[in-house]
Amino acid sequence: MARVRERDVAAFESIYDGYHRLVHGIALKMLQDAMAAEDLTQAVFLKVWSSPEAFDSGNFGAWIARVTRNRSLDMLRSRALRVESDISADIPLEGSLDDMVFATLDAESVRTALASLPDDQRKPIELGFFGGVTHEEIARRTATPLGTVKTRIRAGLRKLRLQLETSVVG
Amino acid sequence: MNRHDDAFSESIAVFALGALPESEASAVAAHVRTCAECRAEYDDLRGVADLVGYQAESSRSELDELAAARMKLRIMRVVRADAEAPAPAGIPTVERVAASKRPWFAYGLAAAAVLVAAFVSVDDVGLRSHDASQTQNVATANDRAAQLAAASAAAETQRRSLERELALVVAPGSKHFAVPRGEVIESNGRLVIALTGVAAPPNGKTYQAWTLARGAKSVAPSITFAPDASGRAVVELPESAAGIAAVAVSVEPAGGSKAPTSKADFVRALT
Repeated sequence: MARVRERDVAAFESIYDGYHRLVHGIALKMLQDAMAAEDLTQAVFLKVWSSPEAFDSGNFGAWIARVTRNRSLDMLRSRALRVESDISADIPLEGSLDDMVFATLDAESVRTALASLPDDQRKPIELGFFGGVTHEEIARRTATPLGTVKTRIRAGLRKLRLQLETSVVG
Repeated sequence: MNRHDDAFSESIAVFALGALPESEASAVAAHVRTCAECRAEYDDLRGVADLVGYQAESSRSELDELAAARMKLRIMRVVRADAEAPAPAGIPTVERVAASKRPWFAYGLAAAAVLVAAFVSVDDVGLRSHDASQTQNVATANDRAAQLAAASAAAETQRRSLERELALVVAPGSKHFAVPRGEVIESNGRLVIALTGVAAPPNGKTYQAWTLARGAKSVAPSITFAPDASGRAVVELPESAAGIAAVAVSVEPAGGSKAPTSKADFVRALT
């Protein structure tokens, strides 16, 4: 990304090649519309090009995944004419060694780690990320008490972290 | 609620996932910003939560090579055009490219600008920092996005046709034959003439394409066309590419001619 900040097209192209399937996949899963997913992919990468300073350090893949998820939610909400501030904007994630370690992960590793979670932990996590709904909505959709949903999300994320760490270490 | 009990830690996890409603998120965010212990918890879980997106990475069946190539072409055209343009202070580079004499670039750029403007936001740009310089960057980015949007409002309706054209251009096995100010493209059995910088035809006149079948001794009339306001003309010929040996374009009386009445702008053999 440092080279992209210097307007290095080849560096940008390399990033695009490495992450376009991630961005497109998230957009497609959330929007369920191939053309909209392509449009959103274009928007996300042009933002990377025009505002490279938005990414500071850490795991670029995780960052662009979050950006794509948030942009997809904005699009879904604009379609549904819902209020955009329903879910809070998050706060910046501090770069950490973990970010760098996790940057070596690929989609298959994450899929495997997620698949290892119990359904009652995996589903609320997936709903929260891809569905863009609040934990209250997750509780309603899964007919689970709110407190239990929160407990499962935390336990699931912790377990996922352990699985991914194991995956990285080998 | 005790700030460090399990219930609060669970709220941090839900917040990291992005599933905490605004009413609760602001309080959690305020605490996380000032408490090192909770900040560490948040960072741990947020980093993992963001990786959940990897689960959705598109396979080749969900994003085939043609679609991927088309998407990349769209984006790289904009980026290359932006990168190639010199950048005097205070003038958005991409905006100047849009006004340059390269309609193909400007076209894609303008379409993309609509999307950029729609998605660049303070929220995202400020994802990682809140210091003064970043705030300035945010303001600059948003200004730039607004200018791009203003410069490109009319382009959105043309974008879909561009996508169709690009699908032809990048289709596997397509052949490109250079002509003055553009090219003739043979793709999937179809022929497309793509030109830029084309002057409007004189009053009462039109541009007309001609095709020459293999073995034929004279050209056959094809479609008539005119460039758009930017001087761009992309036309698909009604004839199948099979058996066509050459394509030509000339200026003809409005309505077209049965045989050329003027010297051809170009004649291009498809070899």
